[in-house]
Amino acid sequence: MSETGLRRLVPPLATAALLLALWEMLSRAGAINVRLLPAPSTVWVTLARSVDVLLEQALPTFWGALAGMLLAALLGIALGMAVSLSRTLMQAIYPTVVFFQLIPKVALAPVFLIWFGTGWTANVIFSVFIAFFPVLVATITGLGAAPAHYESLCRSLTMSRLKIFLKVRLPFALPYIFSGLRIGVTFAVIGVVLGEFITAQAGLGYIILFSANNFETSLLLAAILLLCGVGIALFGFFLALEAIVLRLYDSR
Amino acid sequence: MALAAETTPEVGPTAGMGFERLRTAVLPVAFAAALLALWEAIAVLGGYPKVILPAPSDVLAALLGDFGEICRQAVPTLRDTLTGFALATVLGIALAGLMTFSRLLKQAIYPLIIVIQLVPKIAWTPLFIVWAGIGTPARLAIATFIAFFPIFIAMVAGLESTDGSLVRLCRSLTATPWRIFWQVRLPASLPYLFAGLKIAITLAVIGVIVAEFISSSEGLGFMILKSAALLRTDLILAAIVVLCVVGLACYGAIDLGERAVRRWRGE
Amino acid sequence: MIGAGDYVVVDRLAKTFNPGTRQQVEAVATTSFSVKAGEFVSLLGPSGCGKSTLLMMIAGLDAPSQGAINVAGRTMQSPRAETGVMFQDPTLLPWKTAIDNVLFPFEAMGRPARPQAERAAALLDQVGLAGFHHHKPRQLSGGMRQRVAICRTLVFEPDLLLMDEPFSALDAMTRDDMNLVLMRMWEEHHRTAIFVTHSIREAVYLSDRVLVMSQRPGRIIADVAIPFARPRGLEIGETPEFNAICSHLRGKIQQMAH
Repeated sequence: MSETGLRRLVPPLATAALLLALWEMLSRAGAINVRLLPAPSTVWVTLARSVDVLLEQALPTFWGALAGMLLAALLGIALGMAVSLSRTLMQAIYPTVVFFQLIPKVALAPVFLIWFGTGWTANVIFSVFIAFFPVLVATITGLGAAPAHYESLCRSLTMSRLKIFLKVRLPFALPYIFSGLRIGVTFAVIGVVLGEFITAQAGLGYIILFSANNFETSLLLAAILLLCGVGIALFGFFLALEAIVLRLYDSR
Repeated sequence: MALAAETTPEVGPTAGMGFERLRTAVLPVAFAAALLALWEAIAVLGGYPKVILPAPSDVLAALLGDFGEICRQAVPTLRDTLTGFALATVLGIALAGLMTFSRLLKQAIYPLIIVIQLVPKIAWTPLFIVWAGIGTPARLAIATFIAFFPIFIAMVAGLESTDGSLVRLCRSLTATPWRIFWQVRLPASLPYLFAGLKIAITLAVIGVIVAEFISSSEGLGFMILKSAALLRTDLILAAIVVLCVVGLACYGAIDLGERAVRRWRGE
Repeated sequence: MIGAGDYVVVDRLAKTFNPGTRQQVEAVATTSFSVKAGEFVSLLGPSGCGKSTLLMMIAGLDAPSQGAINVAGRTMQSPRAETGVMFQDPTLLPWKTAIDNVLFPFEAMGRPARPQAERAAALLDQVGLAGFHHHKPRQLSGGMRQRVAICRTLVFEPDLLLMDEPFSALDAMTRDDMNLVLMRMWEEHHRTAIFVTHSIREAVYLSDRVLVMSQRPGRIIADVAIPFARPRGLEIGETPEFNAICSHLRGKIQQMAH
């Protein structure tokens, strides 16, 4: 198993190495405008030199996205459960929820700016707003995913509605909920970074904007690299959460 | 869309059916209307300044009053979003198609594309502005870049989903790989493609708006930001209404296309 | 089209999957047999005995580990345009109508399909699907889909028919119907045919010869000639001669179980 896994890694790694080498050579040869696209070596040097600043600015972005995501998850799942308890409520609310899911919510960022000003808290609130809807939609969809005959079986066994909810509908919903959480994480990061773009005070978004305005392209690329790391860290956090919850539910 | 598991309606069969349909149509509309009414009430009765919470009536007034300006600003946004989206579709399908012909190519490139996906794509926006310049070039570049990934990934999944026995049948009929691609893999991948197109158009709009927020002198995003600076929240919401209508229209068009494809596939 | 002599020659064929690894499986052990032009031969054997693998090799869809296959005087290396293959799954294109599915082989081979439309329509009528030409697969039952598949296999007039348990997924009554349909279609042109099945009665009813395959690794352990005259109606299945041959074959198969 591990030998095929390793073999799978070789082509992409080799291609990536090849592309990096090509990029470096073209930069050195002067074929690429190094103000627009600095050589990998330059980016690396900038990264090493500015790593403390970058990490310092990565923290508000990371914590902001995490806080935003956790709040969005709590609100989304809670509301999703509440709505799913009654079919009437579901029919009434779901289309509106889908509507909010489809509209470009990022366009509302300036409104949030007016309401909550600048600052880390404002970013988190906006991030919650954006990440909340995918979680809500996923929860509602998931809670409706249990096939009808399971509920018929439970009702024939005279189980209470709450028990049916906990023992049948919730387990069936979990894969959907986690899928929604994964999408939500992406949006939470987008929300925080966008907030940092607009308010331009701190965070990796601020660094990216600042370096763009000053044509410090290698700093920009270094910041993007770090942002990638933040995204991976958050993603990993939620994957671990998913593993824990699934194990808890399985052992029951 | 409705819950799968549920009780049967209380009324008799035929009456129940009509009642059901009415419920499904009326309830969401009633709910949305109630929300709007609540908003209007809070805004008017609560005495909030128009900057913080304009009433729906205020937004409507702004929409009607500045309708020409809003539409004028909508043109560059929409034009560049759709052009970028179209480009991304062509590139996404072409590259995904290439992957089916060479497994080595797929093994080498596909993981790299997945990894690039990990970076939140709007973070690339300032970089694209540096590279392409403010205005249409940046909008176009960002829309294409953002829309490409969901389309590409969906197409690859769709092309791979082709029934193995269909491919085997074609091989037994000595069909060339190119013909297998055109006549079997491509039609089989259409449902996946449309799912990817829906995601792509939503993301493309987001990307263009963010680009306009960061630096632009035209477009709906620019207009929203300018209105924010002028504390005209009603105008912001009016512009957003137009943006939503346009965005939903594009999404709806793709959805119609998806339904037509499903009908053609005999599903 | 019909000549004397051997049409398909299988010479010391063997197939091992994943050779040299822990998942190595010898599917077909050294096997030789030949089929004369115009003969209908069944490959009969228990599940997993390698008969499908053998057929896939004759179709050119799989490469042998050892030995060679000769069809119409030429060694098989890749699929042949003149061979028609039928699979257990009808494998119809879900977005095409029945008649377009029948015409599909021409598209696949890059030949114009329009001139063949009449022949396709005639074939569909022959199998009892008149009036269903423009239905899509999801509107047809399993048996009807297999009939479309038969037409698709015959429309380009192959000189060799290879059929891999095409009726195994159907219920018993439909299966009998399909056997009859296949027989009527086959008797028109007496194309050389190799038919894989695990149903003894089906093999005896359809074939001129039945080749019995052993369990994995499969090899031919019996070659029984079927003496019934053609055309054959379904009622010969009730005759004592028919049942005697079936018992004989059953005995051969049970012998292997030791």
